[in-house]
Amino acid sequence: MNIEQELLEYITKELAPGNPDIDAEASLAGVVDSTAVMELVVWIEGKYGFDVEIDDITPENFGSVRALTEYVKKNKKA
Amino acid sequence: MRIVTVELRRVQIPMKRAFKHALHERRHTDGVFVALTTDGGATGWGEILPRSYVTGETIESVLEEHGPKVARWLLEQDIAAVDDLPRVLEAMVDELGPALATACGFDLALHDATGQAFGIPVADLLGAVVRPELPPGVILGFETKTEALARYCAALRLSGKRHVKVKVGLPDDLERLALVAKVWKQLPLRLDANAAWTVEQAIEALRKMQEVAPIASIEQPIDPRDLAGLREIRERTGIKVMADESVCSLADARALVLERAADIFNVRLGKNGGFRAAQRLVDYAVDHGVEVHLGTMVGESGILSQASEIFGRCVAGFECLDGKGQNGFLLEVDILEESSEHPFGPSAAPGLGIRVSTTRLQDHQVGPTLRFSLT
Repeated sequence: MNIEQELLEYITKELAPGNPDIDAEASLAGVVDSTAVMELVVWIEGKYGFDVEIDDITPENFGSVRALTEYVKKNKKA
Repeated sequence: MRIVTVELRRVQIPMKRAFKHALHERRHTDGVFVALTTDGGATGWGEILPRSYVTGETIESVLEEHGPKVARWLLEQDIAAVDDLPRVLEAMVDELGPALATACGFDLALHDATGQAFGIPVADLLGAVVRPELPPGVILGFETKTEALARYCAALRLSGKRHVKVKVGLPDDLERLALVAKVWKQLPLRLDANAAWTVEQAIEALRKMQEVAPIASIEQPIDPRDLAGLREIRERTGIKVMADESVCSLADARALVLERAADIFNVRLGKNGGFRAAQRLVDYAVDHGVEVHLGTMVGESGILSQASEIFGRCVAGFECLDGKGQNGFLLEVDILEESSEHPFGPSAAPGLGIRVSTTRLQDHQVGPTLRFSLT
């Protein structure tokens, strides 16, 4: 499973179970609330082994699963 | 139009998470719902959230004293025309005195019932819609641990939140404020101490806080009755003082203006007596150069939420609505049939434009229904 698939699976199963049809391009605004974003950050840090900086939690990086995938790829420890 | 039946129900609803500030921690909401039935068969709904440290009312005083008193009084009133409503509401507030949470529940219910009886939306009863939807104001309480605060703020910023109030009165206030300021950069923050300080403590704390974050205002820094102290804080810190617990009635507002003790009044329907009394408070503030801010009651259901949304759209002067939408994000279940995602606000429907779920009301009701009828 690649990073995009992993993110999609986590979000649709754990954070937004009422939205099973989210796709990688869809906006996450309104799909995951503030508490869910915090959970997502903690999960990303544990799963991919890097600290998410506060200033990185922006629409550019967290706006969609596709954007989040690119952000994780850039920061993920090898 | 006459009210032929008044019903009072105590309802407790669990909250999804606790909310904590210097005066209180709340894990469930505990209120009294008012249902007024008209001679034409319409039912108007209102909500009473008594806070002993704000208006002095308790659940017991609402159910045993204030509620029955105003219920019996209301059954004797005749609202022959819509124009009679303000007179009846002002007389009701006079009848109840400082019991303004109770007055709010009956004021909302009477607006809802009258609107339905005469086919008029509450927004039209208040005048007209004068502005677009108010943006939400977020409130950062003690329940958000310091270690999680920056991340939580970043998540709120991500969702577009730009109006922020921080509860203060903790030993690590400065650290918390610095974290919040780091996320929202130059955004002036509203602080709320819920009367946690003395005058000297407030001045010392605020001077230090000014060094770590831009401060827009300090809400209720000290004992609500200490008006001279509030003025001293304004004058010695240069920070705007927002009165909250200090301003419940119009008499409170007059005293604050006379003492030059506040720059801003925090208006909340639930503590200011409902639509009519809150409107008079805002009018008085504007006439005397005092700014107004619109807040909510922690734990309020969709009835008060809808009322606050309508009020904020129909009355000029507010920048945001603190706690907006909490009936959806804070309560385990709302009392309305409408989804918590339902876009609240003025509608073309008569009255408040809400449908109360009698099933959910029964599920969360505590004790018997108190019923008062025309005999």
